Amino acid sequence: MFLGVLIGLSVGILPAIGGLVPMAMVLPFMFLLRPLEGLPLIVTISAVGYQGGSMTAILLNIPGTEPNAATLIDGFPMTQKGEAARAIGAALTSSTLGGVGAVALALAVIPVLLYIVMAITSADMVFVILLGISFIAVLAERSMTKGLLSGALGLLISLIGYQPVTGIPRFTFGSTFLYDGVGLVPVIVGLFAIPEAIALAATGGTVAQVEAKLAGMQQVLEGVKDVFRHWWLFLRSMVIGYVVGVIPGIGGAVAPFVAYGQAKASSRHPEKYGTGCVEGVIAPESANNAVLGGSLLTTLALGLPGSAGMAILLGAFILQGLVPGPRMMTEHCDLSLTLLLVVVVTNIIAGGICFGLIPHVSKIARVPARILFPLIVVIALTGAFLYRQLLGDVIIAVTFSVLGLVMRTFGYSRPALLLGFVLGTLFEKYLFIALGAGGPFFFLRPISLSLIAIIIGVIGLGLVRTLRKKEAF
Amino acid sequence: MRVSSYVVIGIMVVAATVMVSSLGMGHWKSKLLPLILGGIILLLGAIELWREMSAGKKAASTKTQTATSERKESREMLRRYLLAGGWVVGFVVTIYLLGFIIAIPLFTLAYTKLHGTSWWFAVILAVLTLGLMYIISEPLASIPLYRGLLFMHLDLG
Repeated sequence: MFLGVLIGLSVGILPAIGGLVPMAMVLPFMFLLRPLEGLPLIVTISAVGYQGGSMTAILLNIPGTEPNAATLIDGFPMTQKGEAARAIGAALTSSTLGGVGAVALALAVIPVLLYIVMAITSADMVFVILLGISFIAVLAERSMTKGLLSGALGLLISLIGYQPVTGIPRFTFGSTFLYDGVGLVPVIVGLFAIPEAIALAATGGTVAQVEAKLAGMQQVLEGVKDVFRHWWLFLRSMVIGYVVGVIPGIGGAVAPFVAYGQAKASSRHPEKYGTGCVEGVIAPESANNAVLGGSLLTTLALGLPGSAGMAILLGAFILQGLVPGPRMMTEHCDLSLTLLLVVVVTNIIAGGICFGLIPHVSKIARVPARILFPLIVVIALTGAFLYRQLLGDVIIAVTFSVLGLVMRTFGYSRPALLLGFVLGTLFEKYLFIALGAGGPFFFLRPISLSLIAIIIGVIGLGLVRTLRKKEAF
Repeated sequence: MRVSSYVVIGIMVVAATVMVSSLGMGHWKSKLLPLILGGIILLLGAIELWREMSAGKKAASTKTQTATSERKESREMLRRYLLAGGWVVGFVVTIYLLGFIIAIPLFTLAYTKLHGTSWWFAVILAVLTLGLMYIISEPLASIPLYRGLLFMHLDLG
């Protein structure tokens, strides 16, 4: 387990490697280990990757894992304001508590939740995803039209590659490389990391633009206190992460954005989001680790992997001669409970290790641009390559850095574009499955109609807020 | 017209191109979302362009003498952005030709040295950066780094 913590944390620094790759890496060794040794190792790696990844997201604008992408929206501006240690303190506390809390939640609501999961169909999935897309209206920073334009562009970019139902390639310009679409990691490093690195090199100085008001450890404690001050936000975000994790097929990258969107939508000061607001760090970090608790439960109890990481875990189960499903919870109750407890223990161990590192790693914010610029560029572009081991992904990352720079300069919302991109493919896939299964009135179901009501509420709230600010639309 | 207006026009041109090219796709399921999204982008783009135009007119009527110095400043900033972007492009070209193992230390060394760092520090940083990337990718993750066109051509990869 400790080995898993070290692997997960150390490889979490690279955007493509954190999370899935180390899990896949240890998969072949499953034959050599007993189930109670091998399976906890895989779960451990999956559990701690997000904690390492949040540090690079906050300090360098490079998310270590895909679910850390939402953390950089407010995490990096906090670093620029000289509050890197506070941001990391808040991120690690919410991530650790989110992971632990989700397991408690998993154990408490197993019977009810599994009943609900079985009731969710593709039609409902369409509206779960639409709910995520509706947060684009909330993610819009200064101008609503620019935010919506960015989100729509993200959705459009997600259409590149094979159409999931017909198999017809779209907008690939004849290149087989684009048949599988544009990869998420090159898009993230291109949109966020490289434009900030270029801006840093152009302006000079350091990432932290002002002197820190508090010393390293004091800031960390302030971050920890922030999570308890915003306990209601933490709880809501954790439940969102958990529920998204339970629903198979959505993936962990969506939950932090939804949590961030609801945090901003329900905040009394939404205008502070995106400028280095600690709530903008707490919400996505509480959600990203809680996803694991939910998806682990669905994988164990139903044999349905909630994310790509859980699909690897499913493979590990099969290699060990075990079949996850409804009988897993009764026939292998000891193993199931062990895996859920592993999530708790590893989160605490990883949190402890990371807390010890914060005062040291947060000094990165004071490293001059002439040293930090090449480091960020190297980490970002190497990460882009390692994602699929294709040089084309490096080109994609550079192309998106141009787009990122243009968006940064002219006030378009990069998080909204990313959210649209993440959800676009899923939306199209489930839309056509739902249309095929239920016809044009596929949405006439209680769960779908409830979700439609929530979506209308979210969009309405965004519009009301915008109309209150006369200049924003 | 302001530069930001050209950005909106660019987005609208992309959306229109997407719509036109999706008309040629065989199945309605393939073209449904591109057409809807393209239409939404065109509509939002038109609203944004109208806003840009009216904001541009207001700005033109309140122009002051500071505009010239601001323009000089922004030109200088643009030059610096292009220079930093040039370094990124240079790094990518070096990766393509010589591979990551040579490109990483070369880029780190060249950039830090040319920006006033001492030789010994630049060398140590270059070696450490390469070491970190190499250890994480090859021994740890078992992913071989790209060796470069030149070395692959010479069969030295």
